[in-house]
Amino acid sequence: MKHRTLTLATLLLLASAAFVCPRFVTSNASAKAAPAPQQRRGRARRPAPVATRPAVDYTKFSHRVAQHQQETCDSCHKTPSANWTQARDHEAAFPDITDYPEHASCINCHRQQFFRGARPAICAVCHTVVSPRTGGRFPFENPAGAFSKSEKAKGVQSEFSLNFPHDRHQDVMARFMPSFKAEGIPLVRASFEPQGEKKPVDSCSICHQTYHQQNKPAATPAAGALVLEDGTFKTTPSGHESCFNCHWQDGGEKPLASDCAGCHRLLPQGKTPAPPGKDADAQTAAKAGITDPFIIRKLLRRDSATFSHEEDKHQSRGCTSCHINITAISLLDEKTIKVPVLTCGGSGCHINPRPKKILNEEVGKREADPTFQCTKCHINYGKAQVPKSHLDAVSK
Amino acid sequence: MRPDRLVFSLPSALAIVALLLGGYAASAQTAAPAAGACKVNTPQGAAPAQPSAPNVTTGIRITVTGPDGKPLQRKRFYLLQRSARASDADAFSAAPRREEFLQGASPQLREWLAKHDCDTLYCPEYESEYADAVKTVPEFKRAYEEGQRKYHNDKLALKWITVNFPLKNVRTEYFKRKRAWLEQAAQKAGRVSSVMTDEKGAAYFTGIKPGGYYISNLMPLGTGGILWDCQVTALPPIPKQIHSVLVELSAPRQQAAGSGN
Repeated sequence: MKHRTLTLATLLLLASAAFVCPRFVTSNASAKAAPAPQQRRGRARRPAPVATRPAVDYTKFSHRVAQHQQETCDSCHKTPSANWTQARDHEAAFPDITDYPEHASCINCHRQQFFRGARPAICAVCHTVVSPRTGGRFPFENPAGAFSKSEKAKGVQSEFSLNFPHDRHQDVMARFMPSFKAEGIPLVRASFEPQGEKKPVDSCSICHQTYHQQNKPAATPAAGALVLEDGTFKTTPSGHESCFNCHWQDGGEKPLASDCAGCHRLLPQGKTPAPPGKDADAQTAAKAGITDPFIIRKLLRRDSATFSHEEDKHQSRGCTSCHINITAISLLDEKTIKVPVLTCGGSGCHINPRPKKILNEEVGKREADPTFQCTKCHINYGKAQVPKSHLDAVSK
Repeated sequence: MRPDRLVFSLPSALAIVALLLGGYAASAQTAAPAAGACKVNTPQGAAPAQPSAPNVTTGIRITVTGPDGKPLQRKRFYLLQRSARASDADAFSAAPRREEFLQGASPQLREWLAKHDCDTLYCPEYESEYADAVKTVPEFKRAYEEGQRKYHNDKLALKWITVNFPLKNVRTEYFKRKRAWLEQAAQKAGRVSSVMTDEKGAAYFTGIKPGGYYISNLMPLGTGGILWDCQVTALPPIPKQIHSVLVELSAPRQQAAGSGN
């Protein structure tokens, strides 16, 4: 009797284990796959799917989504936005794309996401509070000033690069007639002489002026602060205000303002327009007190973070003395912006064995002491291995 | 009866003047452009031209001075495989001229353009001058008023004046035709690359293979003006140098005249 009871208990135990364990296995698998309830039902009725669709994060918008790319830019972005007169101060206002697309742009495809629950995830793309009842929104990415200070801007990288034909713009601004006085032939069109004194802008300085930091470094900088001389950078026309005065759709030149893709090119997945940092990084910019996002971008792509355009002797040299490729290029890219180190040695300025100039000196010190850090031109690169271009430049 | 002096009627006099002017214009268009001077300097250490490895590249630096002896700024120069003059000598007379694109322009606009040294209306240095132009040039006035009507903002109407400029052909047509003409001429002469001179009248051709080239502005400077067509040999690279050849291009002193190209 005792033996029979024990056998029965064992059988019961095994039976309950067989009943419970498969449920554990199923629920573990379904917890990993989304959406869980649908998959469990699917399994019960038909063979399991080969691959599950990756979960979509509807809180983040991407232009790279195939369906988004099938639409034209102006099917979502209206040019100009209704709020353009409020987006900037009256004096600075101009017709522009300064607001998010309307709900109507999204709802045809995303009706399901718009009406999912009390807190639809998709609202977080634009709205500060995920709720159908509140209207607070993050600043739109344009104008950049307000957006760059917002919480949403942190860590955001544009999906687009700028397609700017530098040569074409140079040609538009080419001089019609050099400023010499025509003489010697009776029927001279003397009216082609320039009239009086013009403001001193020539060639590159038409578009690129010296950038003067708004927050000048303190006379006695705080510990750890980095002092980049005023005049280190040159400005570059940036933002729609530099373009729309010629490319506005109502009579301007092509590509028109409504044709976003005329200037903005979608980058492949994983690529960003701004380098993460070369000789300087985001911390360098913070230490130097630079807050202007365009200037930060300039700093990040520099091979020499400390070079100052405004330094006396640099000023007196022509721009192409260093930017040797800049007038030959059609589009701006890293390769064409690069300044060869040999341009620093012109007239023996920074490269010369006797008397020893700074490049020879620092390379020499590094060869003698591997822990030596080059600081004349570099911040981060000063700790890196001396490149071949520098070794060749100082070689005998 | 013998007349004491020769008397012309007004229409006859005008016809004679027109013929003379026409004759001058025709001769100016068909005359071969004057040759710009070229001086090729080879820096110390340059090796004579010899076959080099296929991946070796070198550079040419150019400096250009105008007839006044000052640097010739903001002018495009081409590196070519063939002589521009030999490639299509007849093409120079067909080069577009700005006055061909001024149909419908008021005398005031013609005068304003003549005083301003840019291929288009788009030179940013003009911005400070638009306010005056609005007072004196009818086309600028119309564009300004149109902007005021659209934007209700005087400053913006002034800044965006070219958007509302009534004569689109005056605005950029000359530039577009010139660019197309230059592209075609460059192609015929075997374009290698092109550069624009900076404020010092200087520019570099970089990343080129050692060998023989021509350097030219392709479109003569001024009607019947100056054409550079400089033969140059790009030598193999010199250690520690950006360029292996320096070419100084200069214009005959004070000879340029007429409308510019």
